[in-house]
Order: sequence, then C-alpha cells, then structure tokens
Amino acid sequence: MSVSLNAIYENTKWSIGQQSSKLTMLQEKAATGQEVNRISDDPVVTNQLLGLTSDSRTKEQYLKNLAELNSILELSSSVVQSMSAEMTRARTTLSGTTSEQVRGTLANDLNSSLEQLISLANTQRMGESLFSGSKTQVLPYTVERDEDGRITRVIYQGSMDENPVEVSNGVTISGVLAGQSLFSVDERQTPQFYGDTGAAVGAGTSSVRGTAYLQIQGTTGNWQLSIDGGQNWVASDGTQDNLAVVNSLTGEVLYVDTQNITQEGTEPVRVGGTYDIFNVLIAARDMLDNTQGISEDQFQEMLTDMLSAMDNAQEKLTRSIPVIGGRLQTISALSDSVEETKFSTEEDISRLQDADIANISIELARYETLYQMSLAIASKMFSMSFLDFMS
Amino acid sequence: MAGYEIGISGLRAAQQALDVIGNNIANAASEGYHRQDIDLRPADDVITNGYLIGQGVEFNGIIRRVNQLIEEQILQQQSSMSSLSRQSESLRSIESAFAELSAPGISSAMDDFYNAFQQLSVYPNDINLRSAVVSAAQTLCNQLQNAATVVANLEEMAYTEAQAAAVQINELTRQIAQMNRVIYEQQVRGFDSANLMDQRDQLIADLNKLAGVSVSNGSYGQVNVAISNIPVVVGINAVAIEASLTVNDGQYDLVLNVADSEQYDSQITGGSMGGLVALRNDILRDIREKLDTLAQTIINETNQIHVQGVGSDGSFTNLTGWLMTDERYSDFISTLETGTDYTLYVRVTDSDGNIAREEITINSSSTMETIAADLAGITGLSNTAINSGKLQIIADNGYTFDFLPGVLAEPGYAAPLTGGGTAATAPPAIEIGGLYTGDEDEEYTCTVTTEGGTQAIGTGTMTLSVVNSDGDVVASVNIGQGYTAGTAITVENGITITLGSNDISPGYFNDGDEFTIDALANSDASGFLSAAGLNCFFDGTNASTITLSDDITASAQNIAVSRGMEQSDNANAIAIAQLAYRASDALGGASTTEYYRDLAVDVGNQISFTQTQYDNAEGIQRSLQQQRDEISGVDINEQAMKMMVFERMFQAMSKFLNIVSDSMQTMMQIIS
Repeated sequence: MSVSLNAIYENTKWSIGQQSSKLTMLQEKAATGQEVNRISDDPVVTNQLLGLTSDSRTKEQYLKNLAELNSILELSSSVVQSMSAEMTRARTTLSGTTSEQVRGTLANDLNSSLEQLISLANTQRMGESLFSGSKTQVLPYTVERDEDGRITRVIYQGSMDENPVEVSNGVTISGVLAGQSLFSVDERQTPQFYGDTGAAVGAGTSSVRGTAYLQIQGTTGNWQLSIDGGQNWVASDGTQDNLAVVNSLTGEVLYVDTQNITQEGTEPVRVGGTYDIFNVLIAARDMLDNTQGISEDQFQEMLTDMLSAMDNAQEKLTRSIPVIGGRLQTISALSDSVEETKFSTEEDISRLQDADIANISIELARYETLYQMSLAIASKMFSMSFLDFMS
Repeated sequence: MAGYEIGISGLRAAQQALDVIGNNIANAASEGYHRQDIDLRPADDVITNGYLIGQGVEFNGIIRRVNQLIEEQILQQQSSMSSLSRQSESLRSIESAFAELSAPGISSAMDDFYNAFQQLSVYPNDINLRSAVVSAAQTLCNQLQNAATVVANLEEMAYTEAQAAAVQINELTRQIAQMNRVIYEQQVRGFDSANLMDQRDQLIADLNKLAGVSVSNGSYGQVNVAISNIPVVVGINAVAIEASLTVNDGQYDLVLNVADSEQYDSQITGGSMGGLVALRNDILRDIREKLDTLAQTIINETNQIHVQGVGSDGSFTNLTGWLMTDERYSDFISTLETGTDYTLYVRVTDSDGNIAREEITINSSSTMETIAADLAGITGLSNTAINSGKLQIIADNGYTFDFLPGVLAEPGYAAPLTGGGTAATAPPAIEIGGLYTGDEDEEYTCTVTTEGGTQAIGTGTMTLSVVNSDGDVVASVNIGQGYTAGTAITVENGITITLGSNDISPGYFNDGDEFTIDALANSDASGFLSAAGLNCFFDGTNASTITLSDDITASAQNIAVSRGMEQSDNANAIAIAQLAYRASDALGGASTTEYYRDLAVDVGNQISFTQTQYDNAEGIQRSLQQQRDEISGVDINEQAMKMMVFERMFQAMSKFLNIVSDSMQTMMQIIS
C-alpha cells in the first residue's frame, strides 16, 4: 500500500486538530469550572439547567416575598401586642371606677388609650398601612370628634380585601390585614335596654353595634324614637312590637318593641358581642362622663356589662395575635420548605453544571501527552524517507 | 541494427519514465493532483534471421491514476461539509446571542421580568419596585431585540454571502469551461491531458465547496456541470448565475437563478451556497418566527392583562393608542372570528362617583372609526376621536373611565325594586363587593323569597337565592331574622353581597324581587385595547420591535397593578407574574418560559446535530481521501524506488548500446 505525502499530512493535521480541540475544550471547562458552557455542549443537560435555574430564580423570589411578608407581619404582631397592652391598661382604669369624683379623670385616661389605639391601628411600614387591607395607601381608621376634640366615632376606611402575595406555586399569603375583620367583634347578642321608658327589644335582628342611646319623645300613642341624636325620628303609636329605628348617620337599625313604652327618656341600649376596642372605649368613656344623664343604678349595671364588653374586645384582640402568628408560622414553614427545595434545585444545577476538576486535570494531562505524541510522530514521518538512503 | 533500436527505445522509455516520476514528485503536495504512471509495453517482434525478436520497449502513454467513484463521493462529502460548516457558524452566532449558561441571557431576563411583578405585588405602590419592573422589562426587550437583530443580520449576511459566492461560482464555471476547451483541443490532437484534467477537477472541487454540483462526462474529456437543476457548464460554455430574493408565501426566499432570467431554483443543496440557502430559507426563518411568536405572546398576554387594570392614579381621563395604519388595523381585525360579536366593557364614573358600565360591540367588520364613534356615543366620553391616526379616548370634564373587569358595586335590575312603595319602606341598599376570581364571565341572578308580601331585612323568614348563568344555585342565605344588615354574604369566586339599610328604614324586599350581578373575567375579549395600544405595557409586534409603551416609559406609576373596583389591589401584578408558567394557546400549550427554553435547546440541538453530521461527513471524507491517496497519491518512497529502477534501466541500456556499438566497431575493424 502506498502512503502519499498528502495522506501523512492530512492524517497528522486531523489528529493534531482533534487533540488541540479537545485540549481547548478541557481548558475552557477548567477555567470556567463548568461542564456545560454553551447550549450545544449538551442540549439535554442545558434544557434541564435552564429549567432548574429558572425554578431556582422563582424560588429565590418566593423567599424574598416571604421575607418581606415576615417583616410586615412581625411588625403587625408587635403593634397588636402593644394594642393589647393598652387595652389591659384601659381595663384596669375602668375597673378602678368607684367614686363619681374621679370618673372624669378616668374618662380622660380612657380617651388617651383610645387615641393611642387609633394611632397604633394606623401604623404604617414603608408608607403602607398594616391594617387597611388592600388599601395600603390610606390610614385604616379615621375618627369623628366632638367640639371638645374627643373621638365620637371611629370609621374604618380600609378595604375588606387583603393583598395576597404568591409565596409558592399557587399559595398566597397577605401581609397586610383588614383591620375591620381583625379588630371587630361579631358575636352579636340580643340588645339590652337599661332605661325605664318601657321600650324593649324587638324581634328583628338589629344591626346596631356597641352602645346606642334610644331617645323617646312624645306621649302615649304618639311616640317618636331616634338612635342618632334626633337626626331621624321614627313615629310609633305604641302598638308596634318590632319597630325599626334607623341611625341615619351609620345606617344601623335597632328593632324596638314599643308596646310597653310609658314615658319619654333616653334608653341606653347595649348590644353585647359587638363591641370592638374602639367603640367599647368610647362607650366606657361616655359612660364615665355620663353624657346621657344616666342614673347611678343604670351606671353600675352598665359598668359591669362594660367591663365584660371590654374583656370581649380584648379577647378578640388577643385572638388576632394567633391569626398573625399563624401566618408567621406558615411563612416560617414555607420559607424552610422553599429554602430546602431551592437548595435541592441548586444541588441539581451543581451536579449537572459543575465540572469535575480532578477528572479534567487527568484528561488534560492525557491529551497533552497525546498531543505531544502526535507532533513527535508527525515530525518523524516527515523526516524519514527512502531518499535518505539513496546514494 | 536492431540492437540500436532496442537500446534507443530503452533509453527513451527510461527517460520518459524519469520525467513522469519527476512530475509526480514535483506535484506530491499539489492539491487535486493524481499520480501518473508511465505505460510501457514491449515493442512488436520483428523477424530477424528467421526468428521473431522483440524490438525493445514502446511508450504507450501516461496513465492518470483516478477512481471516478471515489472522486464523486469525495465531492459529495466536501459539498456536505461546506454546507454544514456554514450552517454551524450561523447557529453558533445565534447561540451566542441567546447567551445562555455563559451570561444572563433571555431566560434570565424573562425570569427577572416576571419576578419583578411578583416583587411589586408585595408593595404595589412602591415606586422603586415599579422602576424595577420597568428596568427588568427593558432588559427583556433589549435581549429579545438583540437576538432578533443577530438573526436578521445573519439573514442579510446569508444573502450578501450568496451574492459573493455566485460571483465566485461564475468565475470557476468560466475557468472550467475554458479548461474543457483546452482539454478538448489536446485530446482531439491525441495529446495527453492528465495534468489539465487535474487542474479542471480541482476547479470542480473548489466549485463543489461553493455549491453541490453534479458532473457528467462529455466527449473528448469534457465534463458538464450542474448546480441543482441549473446547468452551469455545458461543454465549452459557462452559464452565469446570480443569487436573488424572491417572494414566496409572504417571505423572501434566497434562490439561485440564471443571470438576467426569471428561472430560479431554491432547492440548492450542498456547498456553502446550499448551506446559505438552507440557513436563510429554513433555519434562520424558523428561529426568527419562533422568536417573534415568543415576543408577540409576551406582548399580547402582558398587554391583555395590563389594559384591563389601572395604575397608581386610578381611572383615566385620557388614553391615547398608538398609530394605527389601516393595514395594521385589519391585521388585528383578522384575528377576530368572523360572525362573532365581542364586547368591550367600559366603566365610566361621573363627578358624583356614579359608575356605569357601557358596552361596545366589536366584530370583524368593525373599524377604528366605528369603534371611536361608538365610544364617543357613551355619556362622559363624547370627546373621543381619532387624532393623527391614533385613537384617543377623552373623558368629559368630571368623568373618568377604565376597563376594570369584575363586578360593579351596584347590581343590575330587570325591573326597579319598589320595596313597600313608600320612602319609609324603600328597598335596602345593595352593595356588591370583592375581587372576581372566576375564569369566565358570569351573570348571577339573585332572587328574594319572603313569607309573602313586603318584608324588612333582618325580620321574619326571608331568603336570598343566587343562581349562576347555568342555572345552578351557588348560594342560598337567610336575610330575614338572624341576618344583620351590613353583613357581607359570600356568593362564589370572591364576590360578596351586602344588604344594608337605606338610612331611613332597614330596607324592604317583596317576594320575588330580583337583581343581577355581572361578573367579568375579561372586559375585552376581542383584544381591541391591546391591539389599539390603549393602556398597554408593551409596544411592538415581534422580537425586533418589542419595547415598552410610551405610557410606561413616561412613568412607572402607569403600571396597571390593580384590577379590583377599589383600585388598590395587586391582582394584575400577580396575574402578569403568573404568565411565567401559564400555558398559552399561542405557544401550543407551553408557557413563555418553556417555549423559549425549547427554542434555545432546539438551536443547541441543531448545532450539535450539524456538528455530528459534519464529523460523520469528515470521517467519511477522510476515509475516502485515504482510499484516493492510495490510488492517486504520490508516495515519495515508491517514486524514489521507481526512480532507481529507471535510472538503472537507463544505465543498462546505455551499457547495452555501448556494447552494441563496440561490437559494431569490432566488426568494422574486421571488415576494414
């Protein structure tokens, strides 16, 4: 078989090219520390890598979301605990009520507590309210004040909807909370009438919350009833057993049995199970100030119920702590879980992408030797010829 | 004097043989050279003194060692290698443009874009997070544009390279035709033309690298050459070709055609020209179309969600679409199913805060003018018009508008509720709330059942029954005694109904009173808003043109994060973020991130496959080359040995002639 010069050249060139290319590839792997440096190096592995990397980035984002929610809810938890402490202080204040002389001072103390609670409930973080639901740009609670600047009504102006944030595939948690559902109490009991007008509770389901003052004017068979300070009077001839008296300011309804009304007057009405931390303090403060001119007997009777209402409101507040705590626990568990799966994903990425440096070093040495051999053999092949032996 | 003749023939043969050997050695490194061997044969016998005696050696010509079959196979492999090599180069450029694994590429940009919306959903009003969304979106646009530019440049390059290759092809075919002429002339005269054939074959091999050729033999050593269906060399004539673009199915195909003629061929295979044609007409086009589909889907899906939401400033007083040429508009219209009416829902809020939801019908015969006129007919939007080719929705003084889906706070009534017929017994205040989470538009019918006659809420026995559009009862709740006015009643899919007093009375229902709730999953099923560029996030139609809309560029506050009627939620941000893994019909059921991954991996696979094909072709070509070298190559050692043989032959024949001459001399001396 004849071996042409060209064949030797082509073989040598190919062989050196192959080894040179392999060496370059190994050097690239060693330099980058990556087994796969471009898609075409291994499309199947690249597909996995791109998917896993994308997955890892999404999890990273979930972890960021969880961290932010954790910060928001931890602050919320801290605020609610402060509110609870303030309520305890107010409860102590109210329970210390004895002589008529100190009631004004105690009312002022309760008013201070109310102001403090409003302030706490309106806490913001990074310019966003904690308890406004999705309306984070507005303060959740606004107040109406009387001519003395005392709070007469607390109005929730936030949203009942929260702002759920995705923290895992298909799992959402909201950091912001709707104050209305967090702080309000909705265990409505039958309204209690404390006065001596003869008015009694009607059969309908009233929507009045906390304490209302039913004003009754007129004479037998021609009564006028109001629960909004006389803004809206409802007429009764004294035969209705379920007369709806509406507060035109709040839209609340009080169903009254008018059949036994015997005299004019102001009837304190208390709806147990509807006191929240704000209206209980307003009611307690006004009771201490005796703005409606209630008798001492009525006062004593209402005081006991008021303390009970305050306990309920505080209990509701206390119950909100586990609500927040529950979310924090969920966040903590999810963080661990997402962290773990992210770690596992990154391990997969590492397994697929990281170069085996030891193996590469050995391969490099092997191909260096082969490269040198090819060069040496090529040199020999070209230097030896029959011509050398011709005389 | 046969001895002289024999000696001279031997000397001549040895000299010619040495010439051939010298020629072989001289061309040992010449590309395309085929070894030549001298063809010697014994000269015819002559009767001398009654005996047949040989008359020495006779030169019978030069044999060109060539195996035509192998040569053809080598041509074929070289042609494939050139084609594959050219394809591989371009694909690697695209792979670099995708920049996956080595740098943050398109995949990373897409993840960052969707994750930026995720982050924004935590603090929907944070201006820094809004800016981060803009920044991530801009990066995504840049990455897609960059990839599209690379593909477009490669397409352009393929065309210009093809034009340059056509010039080279024409030069080579001219030379081949010329060589055909010279070979023809030599062969007609009976001369050997082996070296000329080698030269011509080398030209054919060079031509074959440019475009796969088919070669057929003609008379007197001539060959005819064709590229695909175009004969480029016919005997001594060359046919000039040129590369051009021709419109095929709306696309510009790269074709080869006979110069100055309409006849063209787009089925070129082999050689770098074949590679360029495949690149431009198939490979690059496919990648470009997929990139465009991806970009288009990102644009459409994001915009389709974005247009229905509102930014930090809430409802709009003025929205301007983008410039709509008639052609582009009809493109949009063509996506609508003929014969189907679509509804665009517009919410208009007056200065007192009253909200009305108006409907505009859009179908395949709608035009921008008809839609503008319909919008202008809505109370509060009378100034809507087309200005400088752009649709501009302008709210009247004191009005605002938006396209929020979901529910309206106020229900609809087939007939007005009358309650007890007096102010004191008016119907209750009914308020619909919540963020609708259903996937389809839905109409809920709410019917009140009383004990008979008129009844106040919160008293007696009274039920509110809610039925969906399929007739299924989705909720049935007590609103009589036990129901506290103002308490939200949960329906389904996030919707609530709250019945409250009317500030005078608790609110009265009659038996059979009915109201409806229209819950919209999509306020613009036609896709009109995104097509017209109204409240869009992205502008553009493909990977080359994708960019942020002017509204978003002007202010990150315009990012429509909310879609609830309170305009304070983060639902739109979450919906856009979830596009990262939402299956898309436009992408065959894949999400945008999956689709891109498939595209990127497909390019990698093509490179890998092309490389494998190239390696295979190279392996075959090497094997064939070795076979050819065995047959046609010049082995220096072999030639050196032959040289020694013929040198000895020359020396022996010289000695022979000397002896013959000496013999003659001796005989002459005897005679003289």
